[in-house]
Amino acid sequence: MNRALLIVLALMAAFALGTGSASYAVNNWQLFASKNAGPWQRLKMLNASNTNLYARAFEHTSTQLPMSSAEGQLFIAAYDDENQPLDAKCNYVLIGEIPAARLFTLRAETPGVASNMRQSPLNSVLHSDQMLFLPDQFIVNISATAQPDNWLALQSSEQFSLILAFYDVAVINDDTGNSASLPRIQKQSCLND
Amino acid sequence: MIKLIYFIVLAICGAVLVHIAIVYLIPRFDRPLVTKQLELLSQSRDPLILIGKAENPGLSGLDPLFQYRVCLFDLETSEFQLVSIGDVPFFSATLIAENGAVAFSITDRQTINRTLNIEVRAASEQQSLFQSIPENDSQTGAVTVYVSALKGYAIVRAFVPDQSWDEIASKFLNDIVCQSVETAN
Repeated sequence: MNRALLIVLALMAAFALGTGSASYAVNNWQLFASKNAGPWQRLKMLNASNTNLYARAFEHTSTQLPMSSAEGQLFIAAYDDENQPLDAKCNYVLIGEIPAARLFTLRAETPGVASNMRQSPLNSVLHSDQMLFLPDQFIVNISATAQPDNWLALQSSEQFSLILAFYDVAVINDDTGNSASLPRIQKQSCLND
Repeated sequence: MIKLIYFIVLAICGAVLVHIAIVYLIPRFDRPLVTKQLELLSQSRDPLILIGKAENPGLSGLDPLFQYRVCLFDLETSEFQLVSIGDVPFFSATLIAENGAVAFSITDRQTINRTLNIEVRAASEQQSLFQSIPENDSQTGAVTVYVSALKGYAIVRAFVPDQSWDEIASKFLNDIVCQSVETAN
């Protein structure tokens, strides 16, 4: 084959591979981010100098309004404590210390379902003012079927992520990601068990 | 065979370079999509944009239990004021520079009397502050902020614990005065 043609083909392949892999990496930046505490990854907000490159590019191309670390901190978990993907066919228990934040919210997010969660009659999003607390910890049952006490209802039968948002955290300028004590996510049972 | 290896090596090296270039260059040379989206919207409508229940102009909030209000500011021409009266369980405000950097942020407990009243001035005006007796924030009721970013946007987010708070939060956000100090007075 002609050498020039080979080079052109190689460059075209390089461009396609490069843009494709960059697009995938930016949209799935969590895969390349280190976990901060257990299964949780902190969503670095704008202006955080140590944000990973993919996260920074994602924030840059996102249409979500940013939040500063002085307002709050967001964490996302797509896996349980045993590093298994969170699956809506399973029941989970979230156990954690009561965080040093004025307010926190918890929700399960599945693509295409999140936007209507406030219209849902079920508790697909919880906040700390409506939760029951034990003296030094809180427990949330995460399941597609009704549960006692704090229940986060799963709306789909697919894999999902948990989003935990702390607002007005005690040490607002702590950018180390260690200021919040994050809960554990324990799998209980699955439908096909 | 050698040609095939040459092709694969060239393609992989090129792909790595393209990958790195894209990931590095997006944040460095392109403005954030939110900034561009807001500027585009401000050309056709009131720059105050409510995100949440009422309308969704192609932007979204991070948390469905919050309602948001966004407005653009330009400190080249005048000072900027962000004022609203209302009683929501929690609110916070952030000033974001044109390049996406956080210029300032505050939560309701850091404001004076839990009231949203922020005056934003260009950092260059600090010179005049040093040459005069500063106003006492607690007397004016406003938190005065000096920022180096001349253009950007402000986000006010209000917590809506349940649907019974929708109207209160909407009123709080709708009532925000978000304009230059001269026109506000």
